[in-house]
Amino acid sequence: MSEEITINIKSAGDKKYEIKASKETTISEFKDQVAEVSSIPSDQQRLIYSGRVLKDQETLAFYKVQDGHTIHMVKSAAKKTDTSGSTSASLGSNQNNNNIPTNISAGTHASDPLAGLTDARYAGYNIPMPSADMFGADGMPSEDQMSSMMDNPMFQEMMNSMLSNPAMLDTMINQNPMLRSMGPQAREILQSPMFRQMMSNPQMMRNAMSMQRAMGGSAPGGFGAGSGTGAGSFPAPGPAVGGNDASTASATTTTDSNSNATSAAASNPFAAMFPGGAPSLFGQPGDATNSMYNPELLASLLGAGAGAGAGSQAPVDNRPPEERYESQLRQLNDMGFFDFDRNVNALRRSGGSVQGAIDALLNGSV
Amino acid sequence: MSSLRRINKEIKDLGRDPPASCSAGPSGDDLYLWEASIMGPPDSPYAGGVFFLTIQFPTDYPFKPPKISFTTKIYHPNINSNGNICLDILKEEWSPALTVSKLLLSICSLLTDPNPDDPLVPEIANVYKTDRQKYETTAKEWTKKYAI
Repeated sequence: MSEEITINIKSAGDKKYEIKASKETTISEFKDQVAEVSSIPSDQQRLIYSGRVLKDQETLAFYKVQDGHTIHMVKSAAKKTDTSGSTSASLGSNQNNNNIPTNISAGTHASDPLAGLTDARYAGYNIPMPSADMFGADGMPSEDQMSSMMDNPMFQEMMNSMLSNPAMLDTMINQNPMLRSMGPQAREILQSPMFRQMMSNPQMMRNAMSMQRAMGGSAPGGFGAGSGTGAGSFPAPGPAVGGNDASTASATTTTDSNSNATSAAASNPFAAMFPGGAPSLFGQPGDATNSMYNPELLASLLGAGAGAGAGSQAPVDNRPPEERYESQLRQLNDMGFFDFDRNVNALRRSGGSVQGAIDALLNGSV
Repeated sequence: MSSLRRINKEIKDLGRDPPASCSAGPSGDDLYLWEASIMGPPDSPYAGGVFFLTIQFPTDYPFKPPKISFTTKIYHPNINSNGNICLDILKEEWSPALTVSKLLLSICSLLTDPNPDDPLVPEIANVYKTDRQKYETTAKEWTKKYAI
């Protein structure tokens, strides 16, 4: 026989036992010894030493248990109840599979995918959702603001989960007669990796936004209806956003040069997104092109994520700039800024703030 | 190497007189890699469970804190699904005077008293704050499922 060592057993409730055993003792034999002094049956003991659970078939020497060292004992459920316990546990685990997610997404209705998006999963993630003031009267959020938001992995994850949720897509499509009539195509667009990439790639959004800005700058009023620049013939969406893959191609080729709303929707995945904001947008087919990256669209899309389409309520302000900025323009004129185009650009950039416009005019950025 | 001397001393102390609810030691020949276990505190929803952790010591231990993470799944506002633990003394509040034994005891008390104001898993913190009963039930379920 090899040497005997003394082992301390610590169990719950500060109970301590001292046991002498040979190093060659197997753990199951050792448990029997523990059972004698602790009156806890050996099959209910879990022995832990040095951070590890001791297995029945090994010996004390295997775990390098030393003289005078301490082994922890945890009482677990008895073997008999263990088997029934494991069946109930497996039942329980099925329940858990159903339960835990609903626990986490507390207080949402399964039938409403939008609610699912706003649930506790995102609570506290501090996603910098655009606030109302980010989308001012005419204000696109600044490219920097926007791209920093898009860079946020949480935001991207949210977009992704939103777009990969079939129920969400169904709701979006069903809410919008336009999309409904487009049938499977709408789904295809919304689900296309290209579209998702577009929504989640900050660089693409940035490109798109600067394009929008460039367009806005050169033709302030947008493409007027009947100006001949129909939505379908507008070539920009693919090339301008970079990844011009098959799905855009198919989307653009299905559009004819009639600038009717459906084709606009087809060539413009963003427009297709907006059940709430859509009617006002599609009301002016000519403008639909220009509003591809319209803040309103983004607002309602983001709004759908943040608060179930809260953003889609605000109507698009399509009045001409001289009307929209009437009072601001007058103030600027009073101050001696007479260049109409520059004033309008400055006001656009500042979201209608005279102070901001003056800054822009003075530092020459417009 | 001073880190080895210190680690050896901690092994000895833990073997002789470990805290009542924790146990730790090297998992193999590499003394810088440990396994640890924490018994769920009786006054918490984790009671009855045994939670396993890994401890990785830096070579400049004890001047830098060891990295500790749970390998057993646990439902807790300050422990995420990767087992990472949000505890100040594991990060900025680390002091060379602390030992593995003290760290494990601190983690034990974190199990009893979560800190929902500095959460690692915001949704669990939210449940903890707003519906304590649900938090306890879920934590018990997870303990039963993963730690018993």
